[in-house]
Amino acid sequence: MKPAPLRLVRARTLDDVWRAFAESSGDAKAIAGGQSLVAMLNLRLATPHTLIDLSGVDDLRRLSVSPTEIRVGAMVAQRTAEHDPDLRQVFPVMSRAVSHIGHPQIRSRGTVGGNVAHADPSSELPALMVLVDATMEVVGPRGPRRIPAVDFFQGPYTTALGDDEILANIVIGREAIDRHYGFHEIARCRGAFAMTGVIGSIDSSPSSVRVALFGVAPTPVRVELGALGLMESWGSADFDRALLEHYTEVLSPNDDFQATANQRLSYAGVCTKKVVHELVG
Amino acid sequence: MNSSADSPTRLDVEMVVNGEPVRRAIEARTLLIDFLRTELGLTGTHNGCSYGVCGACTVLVNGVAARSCIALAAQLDGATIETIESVSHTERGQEILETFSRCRGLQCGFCTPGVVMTLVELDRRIETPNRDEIEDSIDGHLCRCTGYAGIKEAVDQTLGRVGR
Ligand code: FES
Ligand code: FES
Repeated sequence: MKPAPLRLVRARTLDDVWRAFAESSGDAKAIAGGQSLVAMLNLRLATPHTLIDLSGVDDLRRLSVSPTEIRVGAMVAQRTAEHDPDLRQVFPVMSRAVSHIGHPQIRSRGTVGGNVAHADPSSELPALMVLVDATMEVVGPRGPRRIPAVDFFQGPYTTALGDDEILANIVIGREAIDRHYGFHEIARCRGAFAMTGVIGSIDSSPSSVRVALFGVAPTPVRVELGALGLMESWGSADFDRALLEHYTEVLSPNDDFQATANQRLSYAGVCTKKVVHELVG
Repeated sequence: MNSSADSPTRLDVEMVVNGEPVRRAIEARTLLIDFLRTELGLTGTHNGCSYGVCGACTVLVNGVAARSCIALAAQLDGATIETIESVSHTERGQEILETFSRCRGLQCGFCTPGVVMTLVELDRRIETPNRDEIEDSIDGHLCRCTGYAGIKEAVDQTLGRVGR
């Protein structure tokens, strides 16, 4: 299998990117590490007329980590985010989430921004972005925009990005950095797409516990377990009952070849309990 | 072949492949695996699935294991590529190949070039990869023959430092 004939523009600067978008009459797609997109090209699920290669745009490759703000350039390789010593120390949940994307041989070329902009409903990073209220810095020919993660993900493989815009940076703020995190996902085997997963966080008291779920709806779903009062029954059977009731209402899992919607719903409960246990014991 | 005609459909690429500089004008859609196999005649890299799941096509790109079936060659201008053909050029590489054969880490050999390239990367790391990383890496390969026991044995014997 191979991609259908296409044009590839190797951009060096953001201006190159805008020019290529402008010249392509609407059928251009930006390509980052290509770990999802090239597979789709091979299967001819995607047949863009023009690809704009972002790998030469150095401005998109910066990673800066401080205790008050994390900025991840869209073209930072997943393996870099996974192993960066500063990120691992300041915001370990990000490295942990990234380590669940495919295998090391995928994460070497796969990028953080590519994963986020692909917006796969079963992917870890979009859920993390929603959980931590990350800001998506988007750039385009009409200038930059800052989009909260919760508005960025609009449906399966669908984001708020305009046709000629790209994701430039992901910004995570202090409030999120200071929280503690838990993570659990259920997949058929390691490296496979998660059937269901949950990432959770807490600041000091159980009433601050919130989670974000992936694989159970078209976009990540954030649930304020603490604010909803669900944490008050943590440890008793009431918690399970109330959680299932709430999840039945807010999640919309699908049947597919990996799991039924009902399985996913029950996995959501299992993952949530593992994560809450990691957070509060 | 070597005429320079850089345009969005036909692009010049230069790489160092197994230590040798190469330069070609290629179609934009050319996958790295096809570049290696068809343009350069390096048929040791195998194409199992073409969409990134099986690992047979794994090569090293700038020293790091990557799938050549889901990489566009034109995105890799300036890269250094190592394929299975280069492994026997070094003493250490020969040891790895012999360990695979001794441990029955292969039967039909289809998946083997990819597995070996992943192992070459792990073996070169200065810091000993931990058990988790090793398993995560080897999990990136499908083998229809061995049942993996021989592969794991070959990997453990090669890395020799596992568990410490
Ligand atoms: S051929 Fe590349 S992963 Fe299967
Ligand atoms: S040895 Fe035959 S597929 Fe692995």
